[in-house]
Amino acid sequence: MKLLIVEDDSMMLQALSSGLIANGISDVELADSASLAMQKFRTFKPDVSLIDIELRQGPTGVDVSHAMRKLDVNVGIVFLTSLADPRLVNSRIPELPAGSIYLRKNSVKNLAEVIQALNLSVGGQFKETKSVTEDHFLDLTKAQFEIIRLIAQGHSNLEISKIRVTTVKSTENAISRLAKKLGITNSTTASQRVLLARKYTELTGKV
Amino acid sequence: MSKYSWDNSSSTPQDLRPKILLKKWNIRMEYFYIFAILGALVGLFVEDLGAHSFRDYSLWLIAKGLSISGVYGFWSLISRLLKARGINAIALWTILVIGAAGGLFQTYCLEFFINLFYLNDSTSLQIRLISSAIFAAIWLPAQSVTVMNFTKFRKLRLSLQEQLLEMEVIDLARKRLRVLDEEIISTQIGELVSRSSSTVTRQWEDAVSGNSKEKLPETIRALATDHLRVLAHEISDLKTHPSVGKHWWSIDERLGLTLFDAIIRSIRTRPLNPEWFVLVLVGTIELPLLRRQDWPTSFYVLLIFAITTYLIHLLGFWLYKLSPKEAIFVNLVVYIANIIIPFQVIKLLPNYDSNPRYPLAFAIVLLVVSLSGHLAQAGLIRQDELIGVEKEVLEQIRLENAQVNLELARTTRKWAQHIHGNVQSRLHAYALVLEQAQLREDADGIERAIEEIRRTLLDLNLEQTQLYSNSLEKEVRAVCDLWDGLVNFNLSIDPTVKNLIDPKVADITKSVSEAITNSVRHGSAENIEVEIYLRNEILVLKVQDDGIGFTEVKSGLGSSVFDTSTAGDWNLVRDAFNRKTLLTLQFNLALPRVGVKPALGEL
Repeated sequence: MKLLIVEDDSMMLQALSSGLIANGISDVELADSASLAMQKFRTFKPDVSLIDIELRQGPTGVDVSHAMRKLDVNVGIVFLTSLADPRLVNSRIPELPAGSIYLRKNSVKNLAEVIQALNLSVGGQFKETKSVTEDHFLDLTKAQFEIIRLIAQGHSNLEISKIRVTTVKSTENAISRLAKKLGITNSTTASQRVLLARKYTELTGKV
Repeated sequence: MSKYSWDNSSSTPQDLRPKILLKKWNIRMEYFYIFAILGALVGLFVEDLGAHSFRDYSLWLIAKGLSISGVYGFWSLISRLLKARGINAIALWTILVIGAAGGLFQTYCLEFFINLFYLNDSTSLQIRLISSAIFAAIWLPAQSVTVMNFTKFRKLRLSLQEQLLEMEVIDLARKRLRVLDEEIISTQIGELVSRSSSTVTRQWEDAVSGNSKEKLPETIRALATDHLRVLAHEISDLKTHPSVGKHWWSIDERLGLTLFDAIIRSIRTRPLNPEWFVLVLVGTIELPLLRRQDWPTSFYVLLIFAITTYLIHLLGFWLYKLSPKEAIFVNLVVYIANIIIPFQVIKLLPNYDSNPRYPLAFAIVLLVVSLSGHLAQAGLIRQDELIGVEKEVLEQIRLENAQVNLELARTTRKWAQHIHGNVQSRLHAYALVLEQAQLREDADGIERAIEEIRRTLLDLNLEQTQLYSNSLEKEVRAVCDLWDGLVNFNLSIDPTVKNLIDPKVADITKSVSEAITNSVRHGSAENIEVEIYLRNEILVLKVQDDGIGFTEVKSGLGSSVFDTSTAGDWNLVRDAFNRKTLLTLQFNLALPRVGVKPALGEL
């Protein structure tokens, strides 16, 4: 199996590659950016790509996966990410490619699970179906994903409403609904904003 | 210049409360008596009494004394009431002297009439007493009103000047407020915070450990409140600033009401002067006595006199509407006619005496009385106008004050929102970073987070914007490189703007990034052409792709990015036949613009 790993964290990239090589996957190529990934994809022609969704600025891993599928419809795609939902990084992110497998870093117990996912995706067995773990994604709207991300970035309600081209009042209401959906209630000891931002860091796997 | 206060209730320059005035009046009655006696003595020597008994002299003295002392007493009272000083006092005393001279002149005229008709002493004395009383009744109120109006007018004018000045001050205050508002946010509070940054940082670090809203640095809020107090104080000081004095002249010009205008208006707008009726009344009493005619004959003569007067005035009023100059001319004609016509009628009487001095003296009296009446009316009209203007000014001041207060409240609210919203949110975000760094035991991360917190506290108005220091080409190329491999780029930048370093570079780069993201994600484009060039000092960005076209951009995040960056100057065209989508954006650079901005259709 020819494997291309796309991961912006060089430490993680090295750890993954050495772990997988040690577990019998010898034909491995590494890329730490979207452009390098596409360059290697064209020359290396992998059977399967293991992709991180967050790739610093610019395109995300999902963008990269779609570009890969355009070049090779049968390539297997496995996402390995800390995000509970890809929309957390960008609410307007495209849907995951058909048949792709979505693994969360903090729920993967060992490399065997990753290898199992890679084997499953080789040959594009799942390409006609939805993403394997898509059903477990968060039940939030595009707007709510955007709002929680903006809160965590430290934007005020006024700034959020300017960015989203809405009124401050509707932003406040949207935040209340979002908090309710995520089970965050008003507390006298902690700010709802802080709790929302913390929730975001939990969901994106930053804590 | 009077001391102003920020409080609206004390904006009136002079305290006119009755309680205060009563204290200040202190009318000195001794002057009144001295003048009355002097006037009577002067009259005694000047006038030819024709009296022969002690009783006659006594009665005359009482009548004259009452008449003249009445003049003085009235003016004295008015001058005290109006607290006349300086030019006002001179005006009052001048009119007093003229009035006294007029009174003497009247007495002389009457004496002349009496002698003319050979009246006996008793009748003469009665006539003197009655005429003194009547003329005092006619003259004094008219002249007093005039004097009062002029004095009051002066006061009103001063009061208006003060009020208009206050408006100027308020205007300056508002301007200053706006400037201060900007200054404070950007620098002053920053400096204050800087001085106590170590305390604030310590407090902040304590607050971070609990992540509690209540524990947010109270010092910042206290400083903001303090600064608002300083702001209000500064505005209050501004009201007494010497430089504000220069506005006096412009205010004086703005009043624009002259006495001449008021007199003209009085002549034009009053068809029938009340003094004519008084004269008719006087004549009704006097003429029968003077001419020894029977009452019905006198009555008919006076009726003709009154009707003629009224008709002439009505005609005059109709004619007055032509123009002020014509009105003056007509008024003069009316006066002459008023004098001539009744005396032509009198000539028809059987006992008519053709002594020419009689109608002349009467004419002079009539003229003086009429003119004084007109002056009084002019004063009243002018005063009414000034009161009207004053009301308007007061209302405007009230509104201006309300507006300034509103602005102050808005500034306060803005501050509260800024601190509660932006600063607090930013600090919360850094708190999370700090928390994560602590969890990771990342010393550098902790240091960086604390540095960010300190930076935020030092400049509360700090925007979360990424600073673009590279040239346009570098920035745009960097964005394209991120997507290289996913799509094919054809980047073309006009050499004249390749090395452009402008605050707009950030917006341009953001727009390029957004356009590429949209083309790839929503348009499934494979080839993108980015073209940037300068046209009439306007930077044009064109992004063309071969995708299926994106529709979401009009309402999505992309549109808001484009709207913000270009102030709405962008459009998206889909050429379905050639499978091309063209996005065009226009940026106004911070450089001075030359020529006319081209329409999008021209490009």
